[in-house]
Amino acid sequence: MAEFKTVQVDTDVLILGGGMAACGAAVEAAHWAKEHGLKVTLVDKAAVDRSGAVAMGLSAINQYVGLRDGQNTIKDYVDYVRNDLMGVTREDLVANIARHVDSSVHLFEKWGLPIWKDEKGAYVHEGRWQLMINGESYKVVVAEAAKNAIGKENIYERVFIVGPIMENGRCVGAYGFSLRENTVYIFKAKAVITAMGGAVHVFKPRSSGEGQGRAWYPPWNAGASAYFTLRAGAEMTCQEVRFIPVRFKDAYGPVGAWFLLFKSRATNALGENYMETRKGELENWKPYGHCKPVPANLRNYLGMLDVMEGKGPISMRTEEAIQKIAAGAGDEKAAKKKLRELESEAWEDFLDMTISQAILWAATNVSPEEQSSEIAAAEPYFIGSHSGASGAWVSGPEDLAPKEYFWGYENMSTVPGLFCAGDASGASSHKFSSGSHAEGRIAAKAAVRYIVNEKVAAPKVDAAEIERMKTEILQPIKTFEQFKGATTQTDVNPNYIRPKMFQSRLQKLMDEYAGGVTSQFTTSEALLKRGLVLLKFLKEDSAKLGASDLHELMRAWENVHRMYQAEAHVRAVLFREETRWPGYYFRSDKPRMDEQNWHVFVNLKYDAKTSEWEMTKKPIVHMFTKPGEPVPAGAGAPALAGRAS
Amino acid sequence: MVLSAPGASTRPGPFFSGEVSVSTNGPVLTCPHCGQTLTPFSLPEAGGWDTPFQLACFNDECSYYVRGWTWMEEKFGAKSSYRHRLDPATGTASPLPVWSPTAIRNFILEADVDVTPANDADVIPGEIRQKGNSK
Repeated sequence: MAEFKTVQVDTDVLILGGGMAACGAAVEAAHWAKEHGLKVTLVDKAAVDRSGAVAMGLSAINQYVGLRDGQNTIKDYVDYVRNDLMGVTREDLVANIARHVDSSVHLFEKWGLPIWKDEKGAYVHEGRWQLMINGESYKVVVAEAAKNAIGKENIYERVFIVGPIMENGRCVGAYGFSLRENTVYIFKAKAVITAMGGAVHVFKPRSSGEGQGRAWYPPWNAGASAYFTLRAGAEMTCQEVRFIPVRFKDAYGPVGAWFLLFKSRATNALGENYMETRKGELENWKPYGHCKPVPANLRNYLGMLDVMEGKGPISMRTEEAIQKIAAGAGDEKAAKKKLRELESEAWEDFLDMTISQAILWAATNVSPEEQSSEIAAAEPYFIGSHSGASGAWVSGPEDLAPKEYFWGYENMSTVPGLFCAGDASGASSHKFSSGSHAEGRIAAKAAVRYIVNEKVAAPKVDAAEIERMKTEILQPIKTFEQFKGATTQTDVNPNYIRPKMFQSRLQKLMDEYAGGVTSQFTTSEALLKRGLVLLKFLKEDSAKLGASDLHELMRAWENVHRMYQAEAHVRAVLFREETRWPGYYFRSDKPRMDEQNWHVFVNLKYDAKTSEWEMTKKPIVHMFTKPGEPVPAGAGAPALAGRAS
Repeated sequence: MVLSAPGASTRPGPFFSGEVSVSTNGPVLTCPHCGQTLTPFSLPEAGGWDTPFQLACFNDECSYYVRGWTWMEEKFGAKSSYRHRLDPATGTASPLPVWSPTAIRNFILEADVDVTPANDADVIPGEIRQKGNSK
């Protein structure tokens, strides 16, 4: 096996990840670190300019509360999130993000992001919480500010983080390897902020075979945050709360423009609109079934019921919507002109953000003005920043959090020194890009305060421990090198399993036993328990992963990360003995929501020494429930650096 | 076409119970730019608003709307404009983006349309708290 050198980096604040939360953390940490003479280091497995879920840009900022203009209140946002998550949300965390998110958006604008405004400076809203932007370079703009703040010399790109470094129960760093050269990295720090995204491709995707690689959420988000926090021994929450978006089938084209702008209907094969014919089903999910907007998972569920009854496929009635609008344009000439305009808009909608859907339309001779297109519920994603909620259980802010949710430093996990933001922190959904940035800033300020207040000493990691980490990281390459000659076809070998096959096994078992696409998102106690048996075999085989190069070594570790996310999910779904989000997963043996016993958080911990999992219920404390009641003290006060408008 | 409770200081909240309704009685709300009566249009649920409709000025001669085309092209390179919008829940005004003169017109509500969801009135605000507090 080739020689790998070891590089040790000593720092104070270590930021893991390069997406929106990490960039927010970098900007805020740099400010406070300068004041206290601390060093900030950021490590990203890709390149910060185009890392994370905002990599290829966005056409809207999805969370802007508009506090300064009185458009909404913090309570409005908390209500929206709580209702969409069927009552399961940390209101202190959501409120904390909601009171800071506007200032992140104002920073984006100051840094050069064009946010649509009218002649008087009023933001142009797409939806209640959405601002329209020219966002092709959204991530580049945000990344530039982060890079300028901490200095390029403190940024390590193309370095993959494998796991946490621990010292007496504290998180004191991370270990990983370069994706470009034979180098193992040991980062030692006084505080660590993990912001490495959610997890995609844990479940078998709709787009398999020739479409493999397509996903709705970024495929490079492979469970690194979940693995890191689990292996550090941090308590995790909402691991059962996955997200399933409905999209145009097989290429994940967005449906929003069709519902919002074209006023299109989605109907089953019989021409029925499930939102109307299944409306009565919402009664079974009260009080959330009565909320406006109807929670995303319930909207999903109504369509799924049609599919399960054999009334599929579900189609977006593009032809009907376009013809209707065109007909209303006036005379025949005006209608034809409008038709061409709408046809163009329909294609542009995909070309703007999901080019593969446009290619699929072209390849299958789809003319949206003449025929409808199939839509479908996608495979499940772990995405705590969006409409899922999985992530670490973190401390709330002192002025908002009830005592059960506060242990000294905002967004610090139950492991001292380990902070989480974006997809890495749980029970605080609907942060999206801007809220993740704001949460990164919150976590970074707290991390610096933790270092200063606790007078955290520089960690000591001995040579033997470093050697152990190095051996662990490189084991897949060593295994491959040792046994590759045993067969003539290197993909098939009795001594190792390659990452691609390992991933297929993981996805197959999650799909079949944990309620994936081909199981119609349905599972049960018996299926979940069988899934755990198969996961145990998979875990055994993870020690036999083989990797032929650095890229495949990354693939090997990504799939180990996914495997831990998978097990956390299966255990949480098994523990929660009810069905609460029927459009995300359905427990056939517990088909109803049980507010009496399960209006709680499901939390879990993993013990890396014993490989045991501990499951617990945690209370949901509601803070913003009665309409018209005053916002709690401090909920509107700025608490970050005070540099933002 | 008027709004029965314009600029209300208390919001109907997430459990929209029908306090705000379109009616032909009450003060007429007009566009501050052209004086035309504001028109109610329905909101798709996915937009996240907690009321089923808002008001906007659909006058194609409105100076605010007409200037908007030039403004958006020059400032943002966008072939779009905006119309004056009023949120009945808060009384706040904001620009409503439109891509063509006919955009959003397909959402305009006719007079005396009942926009109150039929099965929402029995939802009691705070019900969640009573049922599920601190298990």
